Amino acid sequence: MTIDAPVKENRVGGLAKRLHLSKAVVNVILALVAIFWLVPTISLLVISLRPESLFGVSGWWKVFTDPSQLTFGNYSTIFSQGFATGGVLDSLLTSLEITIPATLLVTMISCLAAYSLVFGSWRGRDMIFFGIVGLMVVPLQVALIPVVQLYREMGNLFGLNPYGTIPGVIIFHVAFGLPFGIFLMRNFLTGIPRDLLEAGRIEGAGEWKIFYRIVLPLALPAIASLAIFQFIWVWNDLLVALVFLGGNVHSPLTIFLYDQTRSLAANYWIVSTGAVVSIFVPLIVFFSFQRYFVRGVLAGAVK
Amino acid sequence: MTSVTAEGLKVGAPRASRQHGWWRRNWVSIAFIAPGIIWLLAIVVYPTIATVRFSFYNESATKFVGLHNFASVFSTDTILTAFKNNVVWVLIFPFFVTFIGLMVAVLTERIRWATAFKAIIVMPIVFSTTASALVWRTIFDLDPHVGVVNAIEQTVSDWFSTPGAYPLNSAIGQTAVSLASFNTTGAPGGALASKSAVQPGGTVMMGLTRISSATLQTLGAKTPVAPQTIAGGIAGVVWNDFSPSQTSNTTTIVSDEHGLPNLRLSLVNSTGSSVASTVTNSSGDFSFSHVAPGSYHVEVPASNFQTSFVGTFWLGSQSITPASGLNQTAQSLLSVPLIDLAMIISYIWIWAGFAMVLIGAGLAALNREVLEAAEIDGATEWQTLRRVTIPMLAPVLTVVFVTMVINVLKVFDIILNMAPGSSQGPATTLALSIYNDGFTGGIHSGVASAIAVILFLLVVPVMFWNLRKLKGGSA
Amino acid sequence: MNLFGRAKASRKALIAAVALTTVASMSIILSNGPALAASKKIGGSVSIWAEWTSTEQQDFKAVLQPFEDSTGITVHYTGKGSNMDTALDAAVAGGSPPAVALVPDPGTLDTLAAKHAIKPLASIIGSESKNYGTAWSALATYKKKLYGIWFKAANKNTVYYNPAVFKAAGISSAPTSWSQLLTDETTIANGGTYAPVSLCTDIGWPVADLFQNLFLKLNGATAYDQLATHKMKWSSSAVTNTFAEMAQLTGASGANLLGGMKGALADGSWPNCTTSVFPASGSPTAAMVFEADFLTSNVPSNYTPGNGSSCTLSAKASPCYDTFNFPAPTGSAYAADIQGSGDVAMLLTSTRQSKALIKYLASPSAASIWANLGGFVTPNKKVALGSYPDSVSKADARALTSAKAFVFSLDDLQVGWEPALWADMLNVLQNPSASNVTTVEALMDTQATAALGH
Repeated sequence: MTIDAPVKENRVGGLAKRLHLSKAVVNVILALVAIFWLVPTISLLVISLRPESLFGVSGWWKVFTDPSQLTFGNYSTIFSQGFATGGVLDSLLTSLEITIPATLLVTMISCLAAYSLVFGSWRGRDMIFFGIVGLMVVPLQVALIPVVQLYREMGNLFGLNPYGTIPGVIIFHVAFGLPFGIFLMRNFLTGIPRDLLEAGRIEGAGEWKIFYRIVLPLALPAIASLAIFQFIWVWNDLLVALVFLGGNVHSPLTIFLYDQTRSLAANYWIVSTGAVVSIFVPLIVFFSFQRYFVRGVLAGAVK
Repeated sequence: MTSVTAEGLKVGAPRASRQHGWWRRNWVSIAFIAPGIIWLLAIVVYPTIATVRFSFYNESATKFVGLHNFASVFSTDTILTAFKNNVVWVLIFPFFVTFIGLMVAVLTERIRWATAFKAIIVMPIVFSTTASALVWRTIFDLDPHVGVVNAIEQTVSDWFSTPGAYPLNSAIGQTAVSLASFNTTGAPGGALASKSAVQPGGTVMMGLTRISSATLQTLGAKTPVAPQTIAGGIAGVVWNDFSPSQTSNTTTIVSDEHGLPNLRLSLVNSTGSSVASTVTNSSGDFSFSHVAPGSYHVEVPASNFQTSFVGTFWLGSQSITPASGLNQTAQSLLSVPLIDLAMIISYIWIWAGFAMVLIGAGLAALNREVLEAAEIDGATEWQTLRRVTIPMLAPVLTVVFVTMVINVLKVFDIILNMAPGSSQGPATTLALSIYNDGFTGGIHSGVASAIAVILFLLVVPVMFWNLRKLKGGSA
Repeated sequence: MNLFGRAKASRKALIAAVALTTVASMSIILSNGPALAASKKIGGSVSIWAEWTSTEQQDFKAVLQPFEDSTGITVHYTGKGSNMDTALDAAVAGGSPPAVALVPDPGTLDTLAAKHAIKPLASIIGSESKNYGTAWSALATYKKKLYGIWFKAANKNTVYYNPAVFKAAGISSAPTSWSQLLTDETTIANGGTYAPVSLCTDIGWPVADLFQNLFLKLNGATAYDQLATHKMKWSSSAVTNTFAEMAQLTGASGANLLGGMKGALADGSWPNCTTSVFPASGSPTAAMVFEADFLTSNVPSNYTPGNGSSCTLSAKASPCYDTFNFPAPTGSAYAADIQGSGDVAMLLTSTRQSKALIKYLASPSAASIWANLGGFVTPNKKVALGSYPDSVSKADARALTSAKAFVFSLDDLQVGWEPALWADMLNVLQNPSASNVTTVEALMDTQATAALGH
């Protein structure tokens, strides 16, 4: 209250001047922030583009005064190794083998469940939905040990033990992707007018056809958000893969990188190159579908 | 799924007769939700209950032990350390990430390149924490040839004190005296001096050791020769008294030894004041001519040994709170390892984009008129922010804050990948303890389950908070 | 201690690939070997469990191949990884154990023997039991009956060094006594160019290994076993002395360590600590590194074993690696006491097939196959040193077979407080002052009592 009087006196000139000045200042501050934010990514890229022998001898920033240090040598080494077990490309494939099925399954199952929750007429839908929302914050650490044992039991009963296999990782990821997936899809589907469905029913379309022909196309933006979110989440996971895939000879990129960190000084060329490969895929996804990703982020925080 | 298509049941058709009943009407809906429910029951709900059960059983889950696991959680120093670190994370990280997110979200509204800026800030979210942790590990690396932070520190420190030609390795606590070998001893102020006194017309030989051959190579050191006397002057040689062929010979010059070039020397008289100074040549030779009669010592001033910079061990476990004198349990609870800060900075880099996006969306939805009214009222930007914007944004800020608290309770990958082995223990968290106790070296369910249950209990309030908001919102 | 279990052994894989051809030819020779003299085929099948997965699994299957070929028995091998103990417990309790199992510690053997879950071997393997020295037989004996054979072992008494760095510092032979080791450290430090030691610190287990080596060499196996079972207190003078000697080794504020104490803590993660002694490219910065013989798999493939005159400093030319036994003080009675680990084979169900298999495992022919593939040493005395592919593993095998006493890694026996012990080791390493040592020793006694119950 007390600040009102003195400021009002020079309001006309002062405000404009102040805004003008602060605009320049804001630009400078944000430029500095942007540079700060870019340094780690750039350093990673540069290290991966410098020869192995220079690591620990001179800083990566020396490349700005001596651009001749840049080489694709590390990348050609990696690509020349091909898909040999234990290599970067083998891990890239393993990451895809885990991420793609896990993403497809979560998206499909979430859509079906959300459809049932929104357009079904069975009682208890709300209770189930609230239950699922409750599961959204359950830390996945809580389930790890029993699921390992559950997998073992499956091995004893059916001779199929998913522990140590890629399906074992996928099953777990799908389970912990579902609460958010169902929540996101349900919130989106509630916005679709029931009349559209009724119109379909009058034309004699079955429930599956309505879901497939009417609801899914309308839900595409939400599906895109969910799929991208899930993709990035699974792609970047270390813990689940470590627990369920620890002993497998094929490891996803996160485990590949983690394994290399124990001998960082010797392996930084492969760590940095592998890290660039590992961020490349989500980066493409992110820049292609930025809008959907941001929507997913927004939906992720319960409002 | 295809079987459902084949049936194509008409749910919306006029009600069938009563006996077909509920199942007839709802089976498609139930079939739609069944995979999700079964999956969640099997892999989320049942295991959660099983973990609660395990937490009351011994490590191989064969014997009921009551609260024993919980008792060991609260009495084991390593787990108390994990608790402490989680508290440090929760106290620092959510606040700063929300604050920074708010600041950039507000400021971006004022620039033209907002889209590009936002993309830059958001980008780290899509990187794996593993990759990000590796990047930040190099940024904070101890070696200034690797870590940017220490390289900057080194540059700044070199402005204030230029390293000498033979910098001591302070990383291993080297002192000038440790270099003294033949006829050389420590002198006041970190200098070295010749042991024997010398008169004009005499010669001095001084042997030093522990000089890096890389340094000698850089300085172009040559084989030293025994000094020749000069009339009325003092001649001498300073050499690296280490011969790979005769390691035990520390009294004479050996052919594979090197002189110490570029060494600044001064001639000190019997009262301790410097009367002349010179610099050695490439074979370590030096001479002082026209020296007044008297007794002298040759001194190697400390400036020759001015230490090179030793980096800050950002990834180390040294505490930033004074906790050294305390017992182990108190140390576990009260020390804050430096690496916690380094990791929190890295984690802010990862997550600030998330906060910015959410807060930005909140800002966009704000009532513009209120803000403009405030500006017209002449409130400064800071005042507008503090008194109008932040209160209006409170719900969004709370969501960001709470989401980040939950996130940080589960913090795991960044520690595993960023902390060097020696800091893994001091920097551990609850989530990491679950992994280490439960999965490394066989599967042990007892204590790890107890920690998991505690972690779960910590998020239960948030669970209900979510549900209450959801119910409030949909009503 | 599966911390290094996942270490990628690309070098070993290479050797394995090359050696597979050797194995193919060897199996022909072996079919005439004494263990497989019974030329008529037995047939049937037998199950066997061990820890080994990936490369080691392949190597072990190569060991089993000639047995299968000559006896017609199908061997079902399962590599249990670090879950071996848990899995075996459950299988024995559930009444469906494998016929033969190899476990990594003598404690399991004792437990199973007490439960009569394993069979005495004397009458089954006959003269093959003479293939093992007394230290090894003692470790597989329960109530005077032999229950196991030590098929594979690891020697933790090894110190790895770069011979070219030693030579550059004017040291022509590896130290054979503790005081010589300390003198050599000073000599290397005086050279100014190389740090004497690249110390592995990691989360503390390599420091524990170092302490254990030193404690064993200073105090002997009897004292070691007493400390392992906490019959000897951590606050005893034997421990205090060992810490004091360890401080000699590291030097004041880590003066003998690469990068000083800070550097050892920052870069001492396993196996990062090995690369400054054996860099894949460039020149080494340190002379030696302490760890068990599994370190070999972390030495880059361009290094050749040995300490010949052609060894170069540059990793690009002809670099070498070599080992010496962790030295004891001059005249010590404990110089031939060895610390390490191993895998003991036990018979759980007695069938013609399983008896044939365990007899085969006890024979020198089985162990020779793996010895030839590299990355393997056995305490089996009858395995000719010529079976080992290089001088380093030969020396290793010699040390193992001639061990006067063999003790298991002490930290692995500290169930319930092993990570705490590692943290304590790091604590003493950083602050070896007498007052801190007293404090930490008291803490260790408290922790040991809490975990072990006495």
